[in-house]
Amino acid sequence: MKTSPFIGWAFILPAAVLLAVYLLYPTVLTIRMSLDTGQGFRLSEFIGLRNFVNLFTKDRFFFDVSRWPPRGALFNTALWVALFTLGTVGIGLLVAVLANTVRYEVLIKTIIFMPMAISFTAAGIIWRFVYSPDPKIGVLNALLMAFVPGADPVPWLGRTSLVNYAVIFAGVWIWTGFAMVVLSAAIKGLPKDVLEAASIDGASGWDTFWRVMMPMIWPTVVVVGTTMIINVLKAFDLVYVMTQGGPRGASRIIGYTMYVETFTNGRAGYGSAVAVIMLILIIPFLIMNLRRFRAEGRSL
Amino acid sequence: MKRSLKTLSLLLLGALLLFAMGPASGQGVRLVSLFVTFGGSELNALRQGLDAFTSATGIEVIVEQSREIIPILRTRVAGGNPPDVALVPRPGVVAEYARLGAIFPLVNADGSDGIMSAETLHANYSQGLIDVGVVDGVVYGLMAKANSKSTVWYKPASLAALGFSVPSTWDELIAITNAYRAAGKTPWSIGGQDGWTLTDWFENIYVRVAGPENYLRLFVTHEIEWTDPSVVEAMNLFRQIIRPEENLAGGAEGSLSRGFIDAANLVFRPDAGAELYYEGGFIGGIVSANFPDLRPGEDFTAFLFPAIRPEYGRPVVGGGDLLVAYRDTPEVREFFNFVAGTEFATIWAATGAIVSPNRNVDPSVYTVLAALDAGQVANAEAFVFDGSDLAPSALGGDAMFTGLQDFVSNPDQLTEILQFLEDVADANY
Amino acid sequence: MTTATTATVSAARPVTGTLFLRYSSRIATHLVLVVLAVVWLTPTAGLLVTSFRPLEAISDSGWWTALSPARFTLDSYATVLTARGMGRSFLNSFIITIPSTVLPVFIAALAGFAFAWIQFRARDTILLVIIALLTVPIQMILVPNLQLYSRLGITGSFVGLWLVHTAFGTPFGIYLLRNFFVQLPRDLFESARIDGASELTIFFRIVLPLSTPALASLAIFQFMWVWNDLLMALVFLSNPGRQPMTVAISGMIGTYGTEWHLLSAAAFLSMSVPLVVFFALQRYFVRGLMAGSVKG
Repeated sequence: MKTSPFIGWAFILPAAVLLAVYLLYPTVLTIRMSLDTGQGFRLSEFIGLRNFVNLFTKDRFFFDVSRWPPRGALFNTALWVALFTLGTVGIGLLVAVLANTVRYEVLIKTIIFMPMAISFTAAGIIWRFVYSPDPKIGVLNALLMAFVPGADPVPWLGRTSLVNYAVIFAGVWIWTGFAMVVLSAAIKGLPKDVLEAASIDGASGWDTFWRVMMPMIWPTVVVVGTTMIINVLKAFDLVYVMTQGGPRGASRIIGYTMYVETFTNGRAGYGSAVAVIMLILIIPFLIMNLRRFRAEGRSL
Repeated sequence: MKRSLKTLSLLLLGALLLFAMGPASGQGVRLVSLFVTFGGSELNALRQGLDAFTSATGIEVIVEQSREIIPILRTRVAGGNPPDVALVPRPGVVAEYARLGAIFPLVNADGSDGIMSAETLHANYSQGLIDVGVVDGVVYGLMAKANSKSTVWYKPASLAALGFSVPSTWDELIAITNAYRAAGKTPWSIGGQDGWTLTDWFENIYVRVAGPENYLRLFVTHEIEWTDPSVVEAMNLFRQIIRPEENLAGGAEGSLSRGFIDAANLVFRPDAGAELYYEGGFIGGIVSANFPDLRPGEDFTAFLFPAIRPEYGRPVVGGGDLLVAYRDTPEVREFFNFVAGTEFATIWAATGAIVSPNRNVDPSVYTVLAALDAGQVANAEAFVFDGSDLAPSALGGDAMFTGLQDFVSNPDQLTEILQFLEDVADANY
Repeated sequence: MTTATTATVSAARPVTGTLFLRYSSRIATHLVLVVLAVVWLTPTAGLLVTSFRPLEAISDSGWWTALSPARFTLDSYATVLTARGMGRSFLNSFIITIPSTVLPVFIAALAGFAFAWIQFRARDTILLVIIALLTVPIQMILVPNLQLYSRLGITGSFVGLWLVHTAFGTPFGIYLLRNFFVQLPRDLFESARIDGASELTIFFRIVLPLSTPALASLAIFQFMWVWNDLLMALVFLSNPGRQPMTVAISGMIGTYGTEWHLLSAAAFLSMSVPLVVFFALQRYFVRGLMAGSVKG
């Protein structure tokens, strides 16, 4: 490329300035704050790594390995990363591919997309209705009673072993529309002739999907997956409106912990330490993305 | 075509920009900005009082509202953009701001006027209610509304059919519980998904077991530890409500997966799932909104949480909102003096939306349900503020919530639960 | 998914012995989609029915029993629509959302193009930092930015809010758009550069027109997130005359949040706008990237 070395910088300048002021600077402050008590959001007493030590040794809502299976926000977040990401990307991809072939494409996409447009408060209300332990109010228990005679209603949000799955499903319900729209944009962007060629060569639909379509949209799958993982790491709204982290702290995730410690409990230092852990947790996914950039760079 | 579209969007953007940059508000108008936690009809009721203030002083009140008042205030105070005045529901947070120097003294430690007139304050409030807003000897918060959290809601017809009258002692309450169960009915509905409903239970029991002074020593100063025998005794009394599990609609699990509104609805809907519901005075308003056919005071009403030890009687555990000043301006001063006065309190109380802690409000202004609540506050043998709101947030919030939820689901773990609460308390006082 | 491609070519190809297979996979496709549609619609339908029911009906029975006996009312919608300041706040929502959507999409597109197709020093490192910034939780940036605004004297202004939304939406925009841009065929850029086109020309004439599906999806998400935002509006706009709809709606809710009928009606009124935007942008999602542009 024989363009001026400054032209690239010129293109990213507006973004760089904006992000430096609005995101990078507060992030640096947060890292500093995580080493402090942070009374009233001010640096007040430097305490080194004590916040981090306390998180891993004294906070049973965050990290508790005294029992098997281990419990706490960190482990719940791991569960979210696995199930939420798989659910949203998997179902999103399924709909994006299948809807492409039917005449009611717009209808089905709208239906899957709709939850994204609902505010978290409203989503929280509707899912508390769905999961209500009372079969007169909760549709899930009403169905259970109708199809399994003699069954007891299940307190979906009241049982520590179920609550995470129940909230994650509500999360998948909301965010699948996101994965679907982005993946669909990628599929629409595929050159038709390639797919047609594969098909005429006699490849089955299944083969075409895995051998031709999937490699071409893989970068987008990675982008959507990474976005979903990042989403999980900082998510707090849904847990906040559906369970408040309960019952008995069983549905806490790290984004929720950060919010509650910082703003409800007023411990900005402690909350900042949780935020720093979020930043650290994203590193493996950054490396994954870096590898991809390098690979693309070679082909440039 | 393309060009005209571009011009149009440019024009539109320009117009937006002008619009957005326009002056923030009318200059020269006297203003007070007020942040409150409630909206809807409750806010409309408050506005009636604020309108009286505006017509008396010419000062306009700009009201901002969010149910997330504590997080929003924390952010805005730290960011240098607080409202002038806020109505804060937690005395613990008032104390935090006072110690950070973020709010102004209403009345100084030596009794001299701060933001407001000490005379007006003492003329309208009893010392007990003033004390709720005192931090280190200085009055920082003015309790502007109050409510009882010692109301047990029931259906008179159901209780009469069981052959009982309103209980005045704990033993009678347990007898009623057992009788309901024996009659094949579920006595209690609990909305333990909202952890604060459980802390309210505990507070009412504890203040009756240990007395108001020890109550404050447990929650405010932490001179009493959570492993203290008085705490164990209170928890064991609560255990008589939650065990056997047949006492609870949906058992322990069902109780922990139900919010406080669902729990109230369960008792008062046509095919009820339980007979008794303990929560604060505000439940009356919720039940009558959800079930307009029920006559308040007849089809449903409440009795005062029964006594446990004769020497402590029946103290009222209550909540309330404290007015604090983030700025000291002449307008803010006028505002406090007006709000503390009888006229404002009477107008606000007469809407039926709140109970006023102002002792000069004539009880006859209240509606049936508000009168029940107001009667408990006014006639209280002793009034203590909701303990979980007095304690540091980390303890009074999730720690107590989960501790008590743990207890509901597994009361045999009492020792571990109390040790956990003591650990949290230790780290937060 | 077997039918993803066969549907488009089956007309051009004689039907062979795999007819049965094709039909059964066709049926499977419909079955999967219908089941997903039902699962996805049920909660939304519940919310919709709830929004037409009086509070006492919501309190004593499930929404699927709404027809027996039929208890419906438009009161909740009337209450929401006539609430104090609702009209003004509807307008405010647009004033906040439109610039907060246009700005980040444009700024992210500029940067995304540079990250995809212009070589410069430290490019990948900067890109990684930007992706890392995606993890920054919104609550963490509020206090420092508010302090900055207090110093600059722009607290409570729309401009201040636009910039926060723009900054917060940009990292995702860059990440998403860079990924789409990088997939554009390389010879496009080479031939344009050989023809002497400037990078700016390439950006406006080639990259933007070819990326409408990606730009449209980014725009719809950014629009929706800003439209539904409550937190930033509460923190950055203190003047009630400037509050968006989300703030006005939350202002109808009392201390205990018991107004489920109003919340569900408000949810539908509020979500109708992003849905209209979704429909409006639908044709950009469908239009093929390569269609009629670079075939030659």
